[in-house]
Amino acid sequence: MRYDIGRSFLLMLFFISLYSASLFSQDTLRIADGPRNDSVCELTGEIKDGDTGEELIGANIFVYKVNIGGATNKNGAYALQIPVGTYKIRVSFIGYKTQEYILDINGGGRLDFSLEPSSDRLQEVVISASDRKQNFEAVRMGVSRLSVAAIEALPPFIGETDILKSLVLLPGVISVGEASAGVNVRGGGADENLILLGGAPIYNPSHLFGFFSAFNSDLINNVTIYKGGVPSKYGGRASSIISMDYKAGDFNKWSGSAALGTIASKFTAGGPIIKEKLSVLVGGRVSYANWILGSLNTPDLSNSATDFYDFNLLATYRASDKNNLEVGLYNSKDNFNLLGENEFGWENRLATLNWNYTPSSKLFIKAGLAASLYDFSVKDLSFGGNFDYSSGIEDKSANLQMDYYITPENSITVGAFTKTITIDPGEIAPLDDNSDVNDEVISSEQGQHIDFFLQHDITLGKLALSYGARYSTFKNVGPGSYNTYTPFLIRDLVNVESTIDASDGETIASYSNIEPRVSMRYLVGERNSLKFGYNRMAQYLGLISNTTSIAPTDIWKLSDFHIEPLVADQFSLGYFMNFGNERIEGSQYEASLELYYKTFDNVTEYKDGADLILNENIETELLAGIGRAYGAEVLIKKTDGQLTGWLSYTFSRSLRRVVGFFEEETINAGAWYPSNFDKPHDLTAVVEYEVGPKMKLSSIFTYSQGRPISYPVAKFDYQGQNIAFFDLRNDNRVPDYHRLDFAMTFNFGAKKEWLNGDWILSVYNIYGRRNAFSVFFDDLEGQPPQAFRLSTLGIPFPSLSYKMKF
Amino acid sequence: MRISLFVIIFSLVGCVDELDVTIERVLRVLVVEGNITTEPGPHFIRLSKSAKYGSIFEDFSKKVNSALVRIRDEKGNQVILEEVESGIYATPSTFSANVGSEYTLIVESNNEQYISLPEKVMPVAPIQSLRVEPKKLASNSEVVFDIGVEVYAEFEDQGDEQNFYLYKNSGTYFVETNPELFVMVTPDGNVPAPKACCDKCYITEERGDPEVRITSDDLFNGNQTSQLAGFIVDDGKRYSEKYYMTVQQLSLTKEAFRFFQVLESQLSISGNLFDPPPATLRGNVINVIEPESPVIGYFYASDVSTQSVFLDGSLVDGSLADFRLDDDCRVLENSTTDRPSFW
Repeated sequence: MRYDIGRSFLLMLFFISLYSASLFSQDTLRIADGPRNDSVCELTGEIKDGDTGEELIGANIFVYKVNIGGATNKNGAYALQIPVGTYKIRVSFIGYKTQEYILDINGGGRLDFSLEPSSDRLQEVVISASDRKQNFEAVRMGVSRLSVAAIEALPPFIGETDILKSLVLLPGVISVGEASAGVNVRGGGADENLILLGGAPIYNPSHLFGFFSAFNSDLINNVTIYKGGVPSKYGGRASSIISMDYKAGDFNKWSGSAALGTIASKFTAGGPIIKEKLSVLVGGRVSYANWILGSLNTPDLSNSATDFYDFNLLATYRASDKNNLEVGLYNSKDNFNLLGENEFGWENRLATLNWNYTPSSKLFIKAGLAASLYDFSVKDLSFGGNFDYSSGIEDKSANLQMDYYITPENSITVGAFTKTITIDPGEIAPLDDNSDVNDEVISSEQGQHIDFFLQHDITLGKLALSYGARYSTFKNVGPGSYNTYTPFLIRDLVNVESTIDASDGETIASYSNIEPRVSMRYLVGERNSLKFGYNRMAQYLGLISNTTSIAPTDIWKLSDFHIEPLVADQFSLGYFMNFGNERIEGSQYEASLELYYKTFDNVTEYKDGADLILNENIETELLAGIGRAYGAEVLIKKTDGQLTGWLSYTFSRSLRRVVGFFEEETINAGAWYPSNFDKPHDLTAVVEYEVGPKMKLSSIFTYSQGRPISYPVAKFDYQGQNIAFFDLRNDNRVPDYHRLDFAMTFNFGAKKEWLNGDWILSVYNIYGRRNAFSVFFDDLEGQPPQAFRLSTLGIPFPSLSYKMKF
Repeated sequence: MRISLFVIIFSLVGCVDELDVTIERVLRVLVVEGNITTEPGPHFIRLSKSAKYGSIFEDFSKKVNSALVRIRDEKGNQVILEEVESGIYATPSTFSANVGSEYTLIVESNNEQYISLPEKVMPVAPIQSLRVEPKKLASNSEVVFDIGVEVYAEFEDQGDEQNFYLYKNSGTYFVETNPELFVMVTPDGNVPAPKACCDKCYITEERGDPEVRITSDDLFNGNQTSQLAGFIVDDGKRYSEKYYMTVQQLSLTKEAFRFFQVLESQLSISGNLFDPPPATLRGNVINVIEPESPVIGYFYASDVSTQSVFLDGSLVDGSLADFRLDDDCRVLENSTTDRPSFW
């Protein structure tokens, strides 16, 4: 045990001296025979990982006899009000050895703890909210956190642990198909999720066109998704925030891991550069998917080549006990050469700098800078074509946030955020003199955001309340030019009224929104609660994509003179309860029912046959609609025992409506129609069974109703072919989707360290269901015109990976 | 182990198979296919009705007969089309469209009246030459390549305006058969029945390349350019000796181009992950009595530039077994023994 009484004594002495210098309290913490008073003392501090020094979120501290307990907040800090006296206290966290101490408290003070990870085990699994009680106690609803350790215990996706795709196992999160990039949250488009890696937004989170997501799970500690109840510090996207936190660096010793997989291999290493002061963590992943393509007997693919990698570097510098500085770098890159004729490449580069300053146990200040660069290019290497088409995004932001804890249960957050974004939608340039292509640049767009946010979190007995707002402003600024169109005529180049040139820095369009955010919880019993949430989210850019699956060629577009920001309002209501064995703190079972209703303004839709690439006047191809989504999400979870897991069922709808002045600007005659990702029924079961300390089994079953597609209403003869005619959008569905996966994790317990890793044997899609990614209609020679199904992973996919730590 | 892994990996690409779906709704409306050009006629307009999607046993497209079909220009000059074949209406051979004029198609049939929006004839740049390039392309089949010849139209685009192009092609090729080896199938078995004629035929075909070939000058405005006008695939017969290909470069209005763009995207849907969603194909013909009921198809009027080229059989390295027919070559569709003047 790292933390014995003797050491705690010394530590406490250390903190006493610190504390006497503190401006925020005159109380002193004394040990044993100090003078006593009758008042209640405040005990504060942090609970950290003893190995890495990482702050633990949701770790428990419990004082026996008076039955006072608490959990560490998002900063790893706790605070308790305890009467003077001598107590036994317990500090615990799932996956760590529980520690108990005797404490004699005579006054308030600060006390930090380090917990040692429990050894001799496979990685412990924490299913979602880190504390079981969070289910009914937390003020927010619609928030789930998955630890990477939990994700790694699940059957991997085609041999790779995929953080983003694992979110689909949660209620309210769906994906349109297994090889598609992005997820849809509560009826929102795939571009409505803000994906943050260490605080910086990422624009293309996928490798190999969406088969894999671009994150190396070994460097990430956990992922949190806010489907609703979004805190005011987050903004910019309409449907969800998906935030991935890096693992904290280790300040004491070097360690690392390496994993060999079917598709890619990865490694991580981290440790102190200066002990207790400066720690680094590096990680990388390299694919070798090329041999797979080469082995295919499809001419298209066997003559193609692909490779991807991602790389992370994280450095944490503890300037003092109150100051720490984090630098994060991330780079992911993809290359795909199709038939030697087209070469696709995309690359994300992120850099973050965060400064955390804790002047007292009550005040937390965070300042951050983030830059995210995204580049995409297609090269046409064929004769005559011979061009290079490229586009890019440059996103730079700064964030300042202060959390002030008046008491542990009453805190205020204020902050400001600013961002500049430049989008180069596309440039096409000839590669040599043979090319007939003109050098053409679609003018770039510049945007400026300034946001302010405020939030008050308070618990008053049974009622907990978090309310606040984000005031977001956005300006689309020059240089640039835009057209105005004659009112009441169809928005087309023939109806251009005038073209307006905006000079450098001149405002082209300006928007602002007040985004209220409210979360409320009311305890209705010992282990039950009712929750309510409302949030408005505004989004000032969108992905212009008229394909089912996000394609790398899709372009991001800022709100401008014609395209207004997307605004979503969501109301949610939920009932949460824990039940089962009461001796297990927080109970054995968690259950919840959440209902939501969401409306969308200014949803972007596309005219039939819209021409989106290299279009300088893209507004002529876009339509603005409204949307609504509603649903019920039920989740039952067992969090304790040999057998754990969860069962979730979601009923949800996602609908759109587009009514314009003209037939061409109206979809489905102005009626409500299902969006491309409307999948009403969705059921997921996740089961994990711990056979022994060295072996674990896990399985996933998932079922969802097929996504909508259009069926033809007629066929007609044209130019000697039978052609399908469509009139209604999304009037039918592809067949239902279901799949069963299985994984076995085991450890041989070998003596040599490099042999003592975890083996994961898994089978994806065990019964080889040919799930339809899409259904399309074609007239092939010698066959009647008919429907065809494309399935991306139609047979069982086994994989084996080995992960060792050193 | 390695083999089984390969098998496993196949699933990664995905596979396409048939799917039984029941389509309940059906829309039976007029389908208009046809255009006029600045070349002398006859120009053809085909009229039919759309049918329920699925096999011909369920429903098939019926021709529209005995309709009154007229084409009128902006000055009020009108030409009446004559039904030359079931559902096919032809202009007089003296009729040709003029660059800059606007034309409207009017159809009356069974108390229904249809009228197209006026279509303007835009000038088209002349084809300077045709460039040929042998090509091996991936095909619908997973293991076979399509081997053939790509033909590019070389021309100088007009710089001062936005231009839209449509390519059409037709071809003639020569085949040799063995009529002397003809056998007659009788109840007692095959009996040799040599025919005296004919072993040498010329076959003509419309649309040797069935794809929609369109382009806009967005990327090459005002430049000397080379645009793909067609790909003539080797079907075993076409390249026996040589293939005579005629390419028409037609001008389109922006609206007509849009129609072909949607049509092309419909035809190109192959189950690719990045396929566009099916779109409603909006034409320029209106049902006058029931304007909300759609009419399928687009009536367009074009300026045209035509050029021809011989594609030599040596361009394709015999991928398919050579064509062999033990019969009179005249049994083949659209065949003749008369040597064409250009051969």
